[in-house]
Amino acid sequence: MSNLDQVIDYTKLFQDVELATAVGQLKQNPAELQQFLQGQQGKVYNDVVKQKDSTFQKVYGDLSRATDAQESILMLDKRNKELAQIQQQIYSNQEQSATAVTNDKNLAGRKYEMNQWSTSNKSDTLFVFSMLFIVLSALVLLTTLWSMRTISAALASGLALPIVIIFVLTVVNRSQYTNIFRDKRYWNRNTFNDKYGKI
Amino acid sequence: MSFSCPAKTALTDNELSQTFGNGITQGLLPSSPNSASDRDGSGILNVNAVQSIISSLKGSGVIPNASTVNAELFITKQTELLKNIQAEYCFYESRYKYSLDKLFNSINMGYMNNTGDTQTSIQIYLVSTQALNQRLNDLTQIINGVTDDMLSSTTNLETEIKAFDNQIKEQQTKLAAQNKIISSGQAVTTLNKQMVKFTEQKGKYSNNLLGLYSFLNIVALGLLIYVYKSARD
Repeated sequence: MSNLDQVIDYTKLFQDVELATAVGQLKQNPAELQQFLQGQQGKVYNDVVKQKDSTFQKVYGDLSRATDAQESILMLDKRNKELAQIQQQIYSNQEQSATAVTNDKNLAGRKYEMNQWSTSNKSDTLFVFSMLFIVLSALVLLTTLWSMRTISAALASGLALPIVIIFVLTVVNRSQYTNIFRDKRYWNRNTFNDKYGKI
Repeated sequence: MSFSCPAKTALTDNELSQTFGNGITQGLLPSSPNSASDRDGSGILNVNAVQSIISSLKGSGVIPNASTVNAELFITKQTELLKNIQAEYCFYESRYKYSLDKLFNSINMGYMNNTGDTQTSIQIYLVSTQALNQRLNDLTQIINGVTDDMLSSTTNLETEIKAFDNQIKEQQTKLAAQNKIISSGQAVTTLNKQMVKFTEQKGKYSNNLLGLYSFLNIVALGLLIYVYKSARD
């Protein structure tokens, strides 16, 4: 190992001696010295400038890429925001439509219930009218038979009275049922006058 | 993203101490170099000094703040910033090259003819070259700082993007649910409307029958009275 160090020391010494000799020779020849110095100067100058330039190119490239990335993400963010806004508008519009459909559905349903109740009530009235017509027809028949002396007045009255009573009782019964027991919303539902409470 | 500065040969010694920028264009570097207290042992700016310069540049609007309010304006400003950085680098680089060249020439002259004037000249150009080298190093550091700042703001934007993404997904689910309500609701509504029409027709039919029976009842009642009166007479 000490031999190797000696070799290195000797080599350095020889290099210095050679350099001193070369510089001495160059100083004796100014034109050659000038040329040598200019060559060395140019080399150092180019190396320094190249190093500076490559450093800046690298840094500037990083900045450009960061700028591009930021721009892309910014535009993506902007598009996302716009999309969210558009979707919010669609949501609001659709919410109105959904509310309108629900209201429409409820209204149509309720209207159907009302119509159904009204129609059923008319049918009930029709039943009373038709029954009244039957009763009147029966009374006309009995009156005609009594006027023709086919039946006696007592028999005619005896037959007419139950008919009239049945009619009156039927009318009273239906009226009471509708007013007291019938549900005000669903025609066919019996409320039992809330005797058993509500389900 | 490679570029080369335009060759500038017509420089003078007086221009070596000039700073980049005018009333319209402002460079990244401060007008006067940072003091030694802002630097480490090798003359490199410390992190706080770089941050301070970047904050100041952001405050003055030289570095645009990322905002989605006016993205197009931001992009224009960023393009302008990149262009100005190029111009600023070329400004100092041309002076650095000039000063370095002059320094080497002076040293060269010193080898040939070492006089007091030559030593003064070497000293002058050495100082200016060092100052310009420091300016270029500072510029490089600030550009790196700007890059880091941009990347950190990009992270913030990414968080915002994720939040909006989640919002869009949530609304999409709501829209699907609403769509279901509308589709199913419309079918029921159509059915209910048809039923309403049916009950209306049924009501009209009942009205007709009521009218008929009213008439018949009046006739029957009239007939009953007539027959009864006839029988009594």
